[in-house]
Amino acid sequence: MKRAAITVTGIGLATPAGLGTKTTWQRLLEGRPTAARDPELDGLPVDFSCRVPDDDLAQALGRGLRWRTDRFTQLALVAAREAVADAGLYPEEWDGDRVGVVIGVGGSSFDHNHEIIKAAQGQFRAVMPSLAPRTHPSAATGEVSLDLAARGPSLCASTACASGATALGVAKLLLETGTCDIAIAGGAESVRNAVGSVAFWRLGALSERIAAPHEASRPFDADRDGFVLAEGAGVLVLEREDDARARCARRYATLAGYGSTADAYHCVAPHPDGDGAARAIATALADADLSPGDVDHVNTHGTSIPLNDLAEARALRRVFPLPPPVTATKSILGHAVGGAGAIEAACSVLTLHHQTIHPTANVTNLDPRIDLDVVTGAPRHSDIGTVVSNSFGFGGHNAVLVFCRP
Amino acid sequence: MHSQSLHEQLATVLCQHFELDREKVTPEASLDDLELDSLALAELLLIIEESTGARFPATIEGIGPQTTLAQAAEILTTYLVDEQDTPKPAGGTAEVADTDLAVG
Repeated sequence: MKRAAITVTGIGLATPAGLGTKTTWQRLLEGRPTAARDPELDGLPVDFSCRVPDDDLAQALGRGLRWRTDRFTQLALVAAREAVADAGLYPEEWDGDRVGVVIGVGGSSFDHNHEIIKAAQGQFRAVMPSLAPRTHPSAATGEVSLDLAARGPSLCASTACASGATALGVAKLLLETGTCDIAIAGGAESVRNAVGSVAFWRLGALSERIAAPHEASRPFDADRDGFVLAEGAGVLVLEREDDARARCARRYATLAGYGSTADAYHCVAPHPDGDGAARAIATALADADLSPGDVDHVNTHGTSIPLNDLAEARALRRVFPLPPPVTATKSILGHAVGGAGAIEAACSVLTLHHQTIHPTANVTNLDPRIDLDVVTGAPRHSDIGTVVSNSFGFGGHNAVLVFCRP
Repeated sequence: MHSQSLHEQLATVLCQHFELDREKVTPEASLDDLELDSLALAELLLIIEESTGARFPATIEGIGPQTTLAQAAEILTTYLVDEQDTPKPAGGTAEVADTDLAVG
């Protein structure tokens, strides 16, 4: 049976570059990192992050939602609204029963340490009543459904740093099986808070380049020392191509392939040769009915963690006899964990739309063990028909998406 | 503390914390009008408890969706009065108790 083609008709982004797709894309083209000292992290071992401007977020969110929502949900709401508006869809008009929402989130929110401290100190009644629902990863999906009157299938995909990509892959499946007609899908996370910073620092995953935060995220560079915590959300509106054509919607790209594998190797470390990652890329290409030679660009997972970038480079070498040009969005926006895969999927779609690859920042000395054509310095314009977007999570979760020119 | 000042306090929390429009927050507005459901009410009461040192029971007799802000302020004020009548424990006790709501 021939499966329906799935098309991207709307994009929404809330990133440390600012709110809105245009703001983020412009920043990516400039290749200017967003990492900076974060006042909320004062006095911590790692005191910098990539942070979404507070005032912009509050303004975009509007009044009346902050009392019950955490930052990751707010980011998801803002990105989802933008994506739906961008798709030319109106929640007042659509059949909400046929609209699904899938937002990937890596973990529970740590916005309210103070409430945890109250509980630990026995001040039980002083704990805010909304603490449980607002911190659950599924809160983003729930609030987006409520905000947009989307009453179809709703779920939260949670595959650590691959969550946003997994959510888009699952949404593709929902559309292919006819479970819904419109999918609002992506990822959102805010981990650049005190607990996030300390926890990932203790894991040894964070860059400690505190003297020069803007140089800290340097994927594939020989001097990389870890990732930079961020926050953000990316949301796409997906529809079956026939439906999108019927309503004369703009089609940014086709979501042609999705591959999901597990390393089943280690609880945190990636497989040293990128075995699971390579299988996910191959699976996604097979799903898209494409071969490695068809791929013109890879938006890498590229976190700037020493082991992981090397494993990803090896995975790319395993799949592609000659890997196409690559870039690493995290060099500019940092790592938004569950949001990252969807933000980078949106960047991949924008790369197809603009036929332009944004540069990777801070690659001044490419790791000699990494034999890749990393786009640096300036945007590269070329004929791009197919883009692979990689997302790999702690715990061996691999999710790969393939986007094609519509 | 009398009901007028508690009403003002409620209005301030509703405008600042819940981000309601100032013109909607009138003494005659019901909790329903302000779209304050039971979760929102629980949050609101906690904030008032923390700022006044009062302690409200889990369910407060007489407060429901149709209760106006003025009525709610009046009912809640009785708990503030009760609180003031109760001698407070001496400061500096080592034990951190459930009732130690002022720490915030």
